[in-house]
Formats: sequence, C-alpha cells, structure tokens
Amino acid sequence: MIEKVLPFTVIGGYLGAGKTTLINSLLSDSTIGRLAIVVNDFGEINIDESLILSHDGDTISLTNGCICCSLADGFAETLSRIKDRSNEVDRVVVEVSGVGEPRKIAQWGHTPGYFLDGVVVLVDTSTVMERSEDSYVGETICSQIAAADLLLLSRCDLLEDQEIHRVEHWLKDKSSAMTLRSPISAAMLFGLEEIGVDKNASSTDHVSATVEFPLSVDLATIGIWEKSRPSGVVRVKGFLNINERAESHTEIQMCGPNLTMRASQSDSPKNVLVAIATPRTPKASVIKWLNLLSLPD
Amino acid sequence: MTVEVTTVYPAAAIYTMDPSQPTASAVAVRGERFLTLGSLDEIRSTTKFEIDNTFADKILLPGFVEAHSHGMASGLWLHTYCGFFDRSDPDGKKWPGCKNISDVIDRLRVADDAIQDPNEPLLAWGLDPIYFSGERLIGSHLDQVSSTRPIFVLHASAHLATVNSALMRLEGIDAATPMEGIPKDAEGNPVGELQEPAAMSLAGSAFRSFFGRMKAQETKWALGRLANKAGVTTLTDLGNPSSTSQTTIDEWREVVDHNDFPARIFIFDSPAMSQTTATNLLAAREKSSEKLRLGAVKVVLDGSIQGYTARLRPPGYLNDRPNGIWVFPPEQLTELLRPFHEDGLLIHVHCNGDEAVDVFLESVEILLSESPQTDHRYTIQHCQLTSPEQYHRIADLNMCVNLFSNHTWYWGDQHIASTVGPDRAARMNSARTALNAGVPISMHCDAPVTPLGSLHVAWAAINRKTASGFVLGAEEQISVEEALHAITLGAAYQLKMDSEIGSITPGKFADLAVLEDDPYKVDPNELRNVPIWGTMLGGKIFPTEDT
Repeated sequence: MIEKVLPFTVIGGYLGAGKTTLINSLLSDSTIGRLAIVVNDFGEINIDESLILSHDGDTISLTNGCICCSLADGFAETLSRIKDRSNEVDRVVVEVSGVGEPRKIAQWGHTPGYFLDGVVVLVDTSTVMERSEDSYVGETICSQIAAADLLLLSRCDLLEDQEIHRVEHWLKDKSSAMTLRSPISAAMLFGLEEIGVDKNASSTDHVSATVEFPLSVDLATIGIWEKSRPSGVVRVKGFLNINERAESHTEIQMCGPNLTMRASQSDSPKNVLVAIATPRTPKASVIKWLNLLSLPD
Repeated sequence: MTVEVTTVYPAAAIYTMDPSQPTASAVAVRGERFLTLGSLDEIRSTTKFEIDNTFADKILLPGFVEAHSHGMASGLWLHTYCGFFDRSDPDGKKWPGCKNISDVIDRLRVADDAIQDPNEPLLAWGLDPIYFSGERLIGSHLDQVSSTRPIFVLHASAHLATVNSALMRLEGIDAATPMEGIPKDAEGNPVGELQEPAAMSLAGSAFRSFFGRMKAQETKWALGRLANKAGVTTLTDLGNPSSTSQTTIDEWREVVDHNDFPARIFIFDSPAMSQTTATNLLAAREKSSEKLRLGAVKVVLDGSIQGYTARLRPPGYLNDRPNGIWVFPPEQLTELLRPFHEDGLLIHVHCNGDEAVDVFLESVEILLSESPQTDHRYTIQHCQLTSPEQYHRIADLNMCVNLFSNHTWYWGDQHIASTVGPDRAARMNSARTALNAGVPISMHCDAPVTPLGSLHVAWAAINRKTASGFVLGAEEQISVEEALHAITLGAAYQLKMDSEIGSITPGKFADLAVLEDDPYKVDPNELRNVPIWGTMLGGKIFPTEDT
C-alpha cells in the first residue's frame, strides 16, 4: 500500500496582512476538500460557532469535514496527530504567527507523511512599504516577503492601480516570489486541477493547460525550462521520467518560481504536467512553454 | 488547644537580610514560621523552647529564591550529560565537563554499556562544541560509540542535535532528505547534524522519547533535590502554557505539597502561547497553596544574544549580522498585557536585547497611564544589554529587573569575540548601574540553561569573570551584601512573596539556606564554592543527600 502524503502549505505574513480572512475563506470553500488548518492558537481564527462539530482541546472538528489544530503541544506532536488521521484529511495549511518565519515553519512540510506545497505570504498592500521601514518590525516583514513562493497582495481595493503597481515593483527587489492580487481562487492557490485530465471547459478564475510527454527528460532541460516560465503561471504539477532519476518516476511541483521534485508515490506511468495560470494568461503561451520540455536540445 | 513546640537553632552566624536586625546568633522557629531571633539569652527571656544544635557550626541565610528557572531543569538529567562545564545531577553525582570530542565519546560509551536493550536509543544533552577548538563533532564520531544503537545528543543551545548513522538509517534520514538544516558532506550524505526543531524531529522515536520522558512526575521530585543542593527554597517554572489546567495543577500539587518536598514553586503562565485569560489566571491563583503558587504572567519578547536572536538597538550585532527575531509581536504587547494589568496580576517579560526592553517600557508606560497600579512589580527578565538611560526609565516606572548574571561566566568570552564586542559585553547584566538608578534587582540562572545555583549567580555578579578568567566590566561589579540580598529578598520582592519569604524575620516562613562557610568571610572569588549543607523549609530540615 502506498503511504498517503499530505500537501503542506504555509501561510505567512505580518499582523493585519489578511491571514485570518484567507483561512476563513478556505474553510468555507467546498472545492478544496478536507483541510487540516494548523494555528498557534484558536484565538487567531474566528470559527463560526455553527460550523463546530466537536472541540477536544487541541483539535476542533468542523461540520464540513475540516479540522483545526492548535500547536499547544508543538509541531512534532501536532503533525503526528494529523498523520494518524490522514485518511480524513486532504491537505494541511499552516498559519504562521505574525512575527513567525515562514521559511523555518516550511521545513516541517518535509516531515515524513507530508510534502511542502508552497509558502504563501500575505502582504498588506496599503501599508507594507511604510511598515518595512519600521525599526522594530521592518526586517521581520522583509524576511517574510523574501521567504515566499507566492505573495498575495491584500487590501488592493483601498488603492489606486498606480499605487498597487508601485508596491508590486518594490516587491520585485525584495523577493523572487510570484506576486498576485488577492483574492485568488483556491485552484490557483493550491493547484487543484486534476493531473492528466484536460478539461476543455474554461474557468473564469484561472487558466489551465495539460501536456503529455512521450519521452523522458534531462535535469538540464528542466533547469532551462523552469526559468522561462510565463509570468502568469502560478502552479505546475505532474509526473516526469527523468533520465538522472531513473530509479523512480518523479513528481514535479512548481509554486510560483520554485520547482521541487520528489520520488513519485503514484503508480501512474504517465509523463504529464498540468499548469495553472492567472485568468488573463493566454492558454497557448502556457502550452507552448510546457512543450519546451519535450523539444530536442 | 495544643501549643506548638518552639525550637531554637543556635548557629555560627545568621545573616537575616532584615535591616532592623541584620545578624543574630540563634533563631527560634515555631511551626512553619520564624518566631524570634537574637542571642540565645535574648530569646530565653521571651519564650520557652527546645534547643536543636544541628546548625551550631553552620551559617544561616534566608533560603535562596530563584526567580527565573524552568520546571524542566531536572528532567534533562534522565539523559546523559555531556556539556563542557562540570555539573551535578539531582542525586549529587558530579559530572566532569567534556572538554573535547574524545571526552564526549568516552562519556557516551559508558552510557551505552549501561543500557541493556540494544534497540533503546542513547539520549544525551548539553553538548557545547563552541568550546571545542578545531574539529567539529559529527555523526561518525558517535558511530565510534555504537554502530547499532541510535544515539541522539541535544546541544546546549537546544537548537540542534547530533545523531549517529544507526539513527539516520532507522529513521530514513539520507541524501534525499529535502529538509533544510541537515548539513551534508561532499558526497551529499547527511553528516549527522539536525538543526532546528523540524530537522531534530526527524530523529523520530529518539526525539519523542527525549522530550516525552521528561514529563514524568519523578522529574518534579528531582527538581526539589536540585534546589535543595543549591540552598534554594523557592524557585519558579517561568512560562508554563498549561498552568491553569486542573491536570497540571493537580500534578504539581501532588508533589510540591508533599511534606517531603523541599521547595516552594511559583508557576508563571505564558498567555501568548496558551490563550489563558485574566479570569482563568485569577481562578488559578485561588488554587495556590503555601508551597505552590499560581497566577502570574510571563511573556517572551525576543530571542537570545548568544543565538543572535535577541533584538538589539543600533549598532546591533558585530560584523553586520542581521538583528534578532520577535517571539511575540511588539505592537501587540500592550493589548496582550492589558487585561492582566487591569486585574493587578504580576507580569514578567523576557527581554534579552535592549530594543526588546524599549518595547516593554513603552507598553508599561501606556498601561500605567491608562490604569495606574501602585504596586505592580513589572519585571524585566534577563535585561542583559540595558543602557543607563533605560535604567532611569525603569526606575521612573517602578519596575524591577532580574539579571542573567551567569552569562559573564558561561558566554562572556563569546560576547567579547562574536556577539557584541568588549564594550557592550562589559555592560551586560549591569547590576551596578541598576542599583545606582534605584532599580530593585535580582539575578538568576535560567536553569536548565545554566545550573540551578544561587551562590554561583551571586558570585558571577560580584566577580564578573569569564570562563577564560578575564574580568568583564569591573565597573558593574557589586558587593557580596548586594548580591546576597538579590538572591534572597530581592528575588522574593519580584515574586511579590517578600512578606512571606526572603528574609529571616519573625512571622515569615522558616525557610533557610544552611551553609558550611561564611559567605561574608570567604574570598569573594570562592563564594560559588561555599558548600551547602542543606535547607530548612517551613521549619522542616532538609539536609542534602551528601550531608
């Protein structure tokens, strides 16, 4: 039997950046599946009382199948508890405290039974540039931004487009992350498209494209390919046969610019990738990019 | 009605810390409290009593009070000690420091031989490679101890562990392990170092067993033995996120309230981790006993200076290293403290760096202007790099400081060379400046960070010697009298227990530190070596096990 491996997404960002709003919206989104949300303490998320099925100290079970776990006993203990009930969970989302270091917390995503599926950092667009100069917390904010794979800009509705552009431009110097304006669909945030199923039906909130590859590829080709990612591509996932990793099929993940590979747990023999991009990205450009992988050198 | 027996203890000398009667030659105890003191003749004129000559050649001081220690201080002794400095375990056995890698290997070999079950992991702690010159201790060194038994050695910083190949094989830690904080050799194989908790947790069952075993009730009894050996009669568990849970309270009371347990323990909650409310804490305070105290708040604002995680004001760390981290968001401190402040609960905040001190002072200024408290005893814990200007603000706010004086000895050389340089290292834990500013002080060991031992803490503040023998910041040295006051009445004041303990005063609990030599007469350089005979707690005599 293949051991189930749970995707582990980190959500960070300074106080007031919108983490709680995001997490509450995830909890009410039925498309995501059953989430285990890990928080420092339950005070940080205001769970609607009517959703609570049971509360046994460190874990709150919700009527929609999600659970919330507090870190009262530490990460090792909490992750081991979630692993024990991994057949009831589809995905783990960890909220980092406002002054926490997302990159450090992300390391827990490499715990056996989990895989790190991206570091998302929220940014309060209306205050981030000013706060980054704060003598107490400026460095904390900048190091959180630098740790991200995806930066989600919140409070854009309060600002003129020009002002948001200014922040986006400023963030480019601070982080190699992909910057997106909040809110974004759960499909983009987590890359929810099913691998190997090319749906022709278009979605209004994202673009997705699937390509199958007949042959195996070299690591060097992947290295060149990943750098030419079209700016709208948020997520890529799928399976490849890689010449240098012939002992097993390789599972590929991209979250923003950050590509990771691991030995596949799936027995699907297919070489297939699905890319998920922002709604205004031309699908043809995404397909063209994916196909770069199968071009001869 | 039965009249309780009064017992008079003549002693070679008694130092009371009570300004109206600083010395005496005999003290009378009735029940659990001091009744009177003076000369034998003076006492004879006022009351009937029995004489007990147990202390006739001993020196008596108020029982020492440790206002910053942790309940886990004794639990580590379930595992094998391999730190650099000599240290004594709760049973009084002396463990010589491991001065180099081969000492560590020898120590672990002995421990390995003593474990019967070949699969049981060998767990050790206190490793301090910062003091080893040259070679770095890695997994292959531990393989010399055992190639089959998993070995897990926690470093003194508690931020990393070294493990052997058998452990890595068992837990599947290999070249493919993707986690950061697992250094690899030229061939890409892990060298056996696991940095930070996420990587350490990959040590699986050894990691769980290391921390799991320390929760045993027996470790609470061992804490009492550690205190007894150090002359400490009141100590703290400073920051326990479950202090208001009935289970926690029951577990502690079962041990601490026992007639044979030799110390009082004050457990501070950590509401930043626990969501404890002021109402919970007031309710818990009502569950205190004479020996177990509850109902106070500890918050940690920043990290540590030797770990480069304390928040420093300019010019920060040497060599442009980045500033430290906030453990709690600075702009939420006022909000966190407000309900506890308004209910008059005692609040202590961990601030190692001077910038963290600024944040705490700003919060206290706001809270006191919103809602004045006349006797708050807000205390800055550690307070290591605080400037004279900050001490004036601290004095204006009627706050206290509890200094980490042991730092000079344990890390002074590193502070000079690596963290802040000789000038700011000389002002670390500046007891003289604090006293000159009129700030009430205490000093602490932060056990298990440094060993539980009030005389060492006092010795460090008096002499300010580093481990290499250098006197660091002679301007900040304090007198023996000032230091002994700080580890008795000074600490009791910060715990708001000074009306009950901290001095030998009629009516207070009969808590004594019983010494073999006179701390006022020995060379101040030798103060830390004054032998402790034992203690008295609430009138009951507790010789150390050696005695």
